[in-house]
Amino acid sequence: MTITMKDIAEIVGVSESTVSRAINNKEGVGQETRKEILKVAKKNNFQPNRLAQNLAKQETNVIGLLLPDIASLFYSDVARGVQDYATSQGYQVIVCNTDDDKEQEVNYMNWLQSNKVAGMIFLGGGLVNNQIVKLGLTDYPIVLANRLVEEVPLPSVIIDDTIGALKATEHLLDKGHDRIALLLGPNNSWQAQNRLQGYKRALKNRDIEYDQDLVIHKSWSREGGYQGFLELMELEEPPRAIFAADELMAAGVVEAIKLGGYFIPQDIAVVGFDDTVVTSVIDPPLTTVTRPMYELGERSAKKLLNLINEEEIKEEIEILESELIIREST
Amino acid sequence: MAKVTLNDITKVYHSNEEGDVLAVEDANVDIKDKEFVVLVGPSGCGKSTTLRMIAGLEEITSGELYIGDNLVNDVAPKDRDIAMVFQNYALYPHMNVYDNMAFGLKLRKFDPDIIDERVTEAAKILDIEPLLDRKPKELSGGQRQRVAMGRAIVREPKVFLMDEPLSNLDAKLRVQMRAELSKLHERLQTTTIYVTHDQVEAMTLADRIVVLKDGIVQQIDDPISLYSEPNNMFVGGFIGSPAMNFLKATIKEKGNDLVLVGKGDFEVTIPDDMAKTMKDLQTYIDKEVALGIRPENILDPAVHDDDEYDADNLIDAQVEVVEPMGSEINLYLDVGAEESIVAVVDVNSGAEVGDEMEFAFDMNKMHIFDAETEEAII
Repeated sequence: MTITMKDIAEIVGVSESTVSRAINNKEGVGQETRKEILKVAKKNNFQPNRLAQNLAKQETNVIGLLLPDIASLFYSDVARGVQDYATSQGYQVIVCNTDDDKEQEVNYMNWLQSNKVAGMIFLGGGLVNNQIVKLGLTDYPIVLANRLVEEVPLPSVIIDDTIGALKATEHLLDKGHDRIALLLGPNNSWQAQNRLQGYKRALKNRDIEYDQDLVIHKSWSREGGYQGFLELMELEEPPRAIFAADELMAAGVVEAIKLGGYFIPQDIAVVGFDDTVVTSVIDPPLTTVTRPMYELGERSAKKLLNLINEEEIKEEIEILESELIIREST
Repeated sequence: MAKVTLNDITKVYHSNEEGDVLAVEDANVDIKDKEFVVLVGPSGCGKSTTLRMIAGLEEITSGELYIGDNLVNDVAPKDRDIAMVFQNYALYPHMNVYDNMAFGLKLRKFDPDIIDERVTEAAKILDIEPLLDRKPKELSGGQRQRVAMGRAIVREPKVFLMDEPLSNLDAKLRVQMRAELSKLHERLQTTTIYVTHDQVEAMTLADRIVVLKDGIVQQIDDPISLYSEPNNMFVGGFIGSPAMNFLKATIKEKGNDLVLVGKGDFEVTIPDDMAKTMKDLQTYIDKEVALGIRPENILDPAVHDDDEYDADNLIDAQVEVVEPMGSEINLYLDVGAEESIVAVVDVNSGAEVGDEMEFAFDMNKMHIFDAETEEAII
């Protein structure tokens, strides 16, 4: 037979509402009493009646995670972080692939809301649309993960890309390089501009003049990295250090360097961006910037559950920093 | 830049618990190109709902909304060419001022040179050029507000929509930013629709004010006309501080004159020319009306020359409270029949609590309202 809150209340000698507050981690219960209640609950294998809890709140213990495409290595890591945290707190996650399509996203939002989902995380995909702003202006719990909003402050967790680029550039500077090439995606891409900014800041911090010839914009692809390297080799004084600010570009650069008969890092040092299955097969092992993707998911889920449970959140906008993993390519 | 036209705009919220709630009813507002229009009214009057319908954040239940000559009821918010500024704004802590203004354009893939041009220009206009490299935590509240404004400016929208943008600032800063908003509008000339519950903000900023109550537009007018010619008792009472006084009175004929006889036994004469222009007034003879008089139009004869007030229109009152405000004094007066009024008088008035005094109404500046409909009698 399962034990109820009423039973626990009788055993501990407190009211049923005190038991409820203790189990739901709400205020108004002394520390000792809370401990005693939780001990009795655990000993008797108490299972809260989720259905009854949700009926009272008129919502389910399910959260929605809307992202452009789960097939992306970046998003799947984040999704894992979201799910692991949510599951540990008794929540399930519905993942919706929006393909970066505004209409599809709005359809999913409506569907999730009509199914009384407790809250939503919007992961990636540029500026929020106004449907999200509208939702954010109500009390409905939402969190933006690596997604930006212009009009109103919405609870967000964001990875600061510029810091990763700064650290990568500083590392090459520390290795004695003062002519460092930067390979980036298209000039008008948000990611490219952020990474360029980190690169510039590192140079400025060391009083090294920025040389536009060393910055090459190509497509975010292996081919882009390959072609970028060929362009750099045409310079009068080719650089001996390259920061390829994308995993595929890094793979292309390494391939081109080797085909050219150069050695890494003896002839040319390389730093990549992101640490995924792609960068893991590069030889020599790649020094690379790693973004805390799992942590982004975990923190976003934590923020959302705090909002759902009406707990205070410390920071409205949380910033996570990228790290540099030093291996053998520098 | 563009005009904005609201034709019979209505918003109904459907709620399972409360049934249908009418938030805005048949709003008709013509906002001219380059105009600064303020929507003002108490909480729940529908002003924010109206703004959000213009923004596209709320669906319009019925009616037509035009931005420029385009019907935009079904146009997505991002295609309406508007920029919104709310009381809360998100400045990203890891971005400097430049990027906090630029990220929207960057994410929309604008050419970096154009972004640079626009951010630099906006920073110049807002006088935050030296701060472009700073992070938000290094800025004061007013500077942050300017950055948020800058983010809206760089989008070069046809219309700015602002929802209580100053309400998070302290009183001193609010006054300063109010003046800066005025200057900014003077310079940019962008059509602006601004929502506030603060009538002083409305009076100081607006070319024209839209007063709302219970979802219904009460009056649309320039600040001075709104103050001097309120359409009804609500507008009269809402605009102006301290608020307009209302006294119950009956219109009587006395010889060739029309007089207002108050419950508290006062009698004041309606000026001839006013009686003539108020063509409906005759139908109110022997009926109860509401006399509206602003606190600054109640004069203390002790501090005025004889020709500055009408000795025939004096009323008796007992001073209940004396509130010195610095340059003037607010007097709370008991005029009998359980009616109290407020007068703003010169600091040299020797009024003290408990004094029985005579006060003169400046009758050329009083208002008469229908006691039942509360509409102004004209």
